[in-house]
Amino acid sequence: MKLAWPHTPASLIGLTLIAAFYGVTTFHLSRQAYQARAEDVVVIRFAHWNLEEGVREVYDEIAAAYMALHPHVHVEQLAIPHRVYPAWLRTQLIGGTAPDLIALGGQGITDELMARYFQPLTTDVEAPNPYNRGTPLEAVSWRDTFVDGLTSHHIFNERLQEVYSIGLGVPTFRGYYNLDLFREIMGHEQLPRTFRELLDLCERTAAWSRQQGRAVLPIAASVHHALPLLHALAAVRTQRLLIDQPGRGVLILGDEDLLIEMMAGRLSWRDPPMVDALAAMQAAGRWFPPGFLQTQREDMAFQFVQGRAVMMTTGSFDLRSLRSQAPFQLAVGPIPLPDTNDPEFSRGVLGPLPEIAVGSGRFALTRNSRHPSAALDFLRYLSSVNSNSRFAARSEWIPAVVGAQVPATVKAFQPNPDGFPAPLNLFAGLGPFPDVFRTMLNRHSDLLFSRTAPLEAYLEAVDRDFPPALRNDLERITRHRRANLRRLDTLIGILELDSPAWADRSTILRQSQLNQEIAQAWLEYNQ
Amino acid sequence: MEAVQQLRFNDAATLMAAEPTPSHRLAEAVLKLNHQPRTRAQVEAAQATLEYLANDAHTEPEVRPWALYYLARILHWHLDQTPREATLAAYQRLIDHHPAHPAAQLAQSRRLLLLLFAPATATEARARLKHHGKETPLLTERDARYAYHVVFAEAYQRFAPEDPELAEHTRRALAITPLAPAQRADLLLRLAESARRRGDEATARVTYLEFLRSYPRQIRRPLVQKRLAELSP
Repeated sequence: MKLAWPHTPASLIGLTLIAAFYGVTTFHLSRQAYQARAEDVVVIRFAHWNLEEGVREVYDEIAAAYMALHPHVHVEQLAIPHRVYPAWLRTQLIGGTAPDLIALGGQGITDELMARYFQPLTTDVEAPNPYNRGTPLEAVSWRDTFVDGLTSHHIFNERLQEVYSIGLGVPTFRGYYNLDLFREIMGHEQLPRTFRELLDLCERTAAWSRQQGRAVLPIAASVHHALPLLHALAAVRTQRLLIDQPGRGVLILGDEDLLIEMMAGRLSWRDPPMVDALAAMQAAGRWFPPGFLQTQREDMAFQFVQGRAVMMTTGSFDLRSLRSQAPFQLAVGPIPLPDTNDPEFSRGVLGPLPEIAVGSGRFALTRNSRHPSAALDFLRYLSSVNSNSRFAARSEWIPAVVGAQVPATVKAFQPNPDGFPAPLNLFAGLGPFPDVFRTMLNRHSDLLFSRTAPLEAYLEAVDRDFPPALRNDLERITRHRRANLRRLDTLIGILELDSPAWADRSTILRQSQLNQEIAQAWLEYNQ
Repeated sequence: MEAVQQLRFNDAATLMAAEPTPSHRLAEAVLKLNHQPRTRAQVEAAQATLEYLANDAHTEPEVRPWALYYLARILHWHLDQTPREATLAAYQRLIDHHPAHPAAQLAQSRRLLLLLFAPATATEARARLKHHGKETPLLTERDARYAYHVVFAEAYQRFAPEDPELAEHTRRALAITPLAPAQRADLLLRLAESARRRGDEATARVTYLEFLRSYPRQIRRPLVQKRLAELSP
């Protein structure tokens, strides 16, 4: 077999740049390792892709403060460009050269990779964080020092039953408005507070645009900007499922639970909660520009700052750049979602969604770390209430630790901690169910977001394409789970053979293993 | 041990192979199950070693039951497409020969898992819950007792959620320590929800409150507060 190499000049330049990047990185890492040996100090390396202003600087400041406390430890920061981060990460993990701590989030880390290359932190988070001494969190378990108690789906892997990362920020999403344009179209400055008012803004913008002969979008939506809004709409309208659908009887309906319910015929896309979710997505999505799922984040942000859209939904992390680029008055408000009083979209809604999911600056400890205790200690320092306040002040992120100061500049993004959770997470991104996601969103987006086709046309397409997608994804889950169960057999077996001192650790691992075996048995029962 | 913690099973297996004792051979076989690259031949080699240890008269009494346990585990999870009956028979072989051994006690819950979640109609599923609930396996080990009660609680939740046995098994699992926080949170809510469904509001209230006290940051708190508000005053 002969490999077909790309041969255009652009691709050759790209390959050369990537090769150069890897070469420089490898040289840099090797040099650090050599220096560490030479100076006999413990070197902790952490990698991330957050190159935004303030983030790298504050990481350096915190690392310097930590090194002052621990002179025998040297902490190195590796800031890797976002575009190459996923490929870089995989190469480092598979090559066994990964840094001690790695930032995670959206790099396609499957359960299999997670279990294989990262150290669970589940038992470590139960003890208090010593770097919170002298603060109100002094006696609180490390777990409960985070606003989400480390229970949100980014942090606690429901399928592997382990906590794998510790986060520093809570990304919250808001509506960003071009207030000049908004005032011109609406005649006032009162931002939409309800979903109905948002739809009204969209309708009036479209009418105004036609009347003025000026191409202005009601909502600037790329795949990056649209998914958080679509996910929130689907989630809020399926909240009642958590209390109405018995499931596992623990007030949770994870993605896998939901899909098993659908596979067994106890729930379908034609049942009210699911149709309601789709109807809300359709109502908003109809106002998105055509082809939004193929549009890149930067392109749509450019349109917004050029004054060609009234609104854009994105996270707190975009505030700095939008504030500096927008030549108009920028306003920020909550994303208007259906509430319990909505005349058309209230069914299934329990209340606002919670905004406490820690998801930014999530660091996981690699299994090949040469100094896992020191790396974990640095992670504790990094996520202490004082460090997190310092981090938030410089980065303008919403802090993840209870009691850490929210910077005044991002008060509009302060999370609402009291909302009701929701089960329908299938529109949030590829996650562990890529085939289902593609089928439900990408493949038939033209039908779902059509301004003329009824929802029935979309449901007919789903009736046809959803079952095989569901089977594929559940088979993938089965493969990953079986691999993890096998690994746990060996890990637990050797822990127990080695010494009775490991008894408590193996007990906790056995409980996790049993849960996964039961989940698999239930999946197979329903197939 | 560091090699095992880092999942470098190949390195650990090489270390074990240097020692000829049955314990080391057992460890080597268990490590071989995850030798990379993982092949069927590796698993079959581990199987052959374990079979030898299970049958050889010179194997230490402590090693033989674990060899039988891992033989059953191979059928259960390490080989694809093993008939359920063959796996059940492997667990049963261990239980019959060494009923009091910790490995056999663990095997009890896995045997139950296979039996209770086998394909069946809803009526059959409920009937076999009652049938196997009458068995009285010897369970002195904490991990085995936990697994036994959790498997029953999960099966009752799925097939007979109105049955009081669901609460009973959940309560017994909750009494075992140490318990991973995520498991304890789920068990508390399962107990509370089961009590609420059966109209036992006192138990439901106490258990919901215990959940709120234990998990001040849990994402499910608003749902629990809603449940509490719906209970009669």
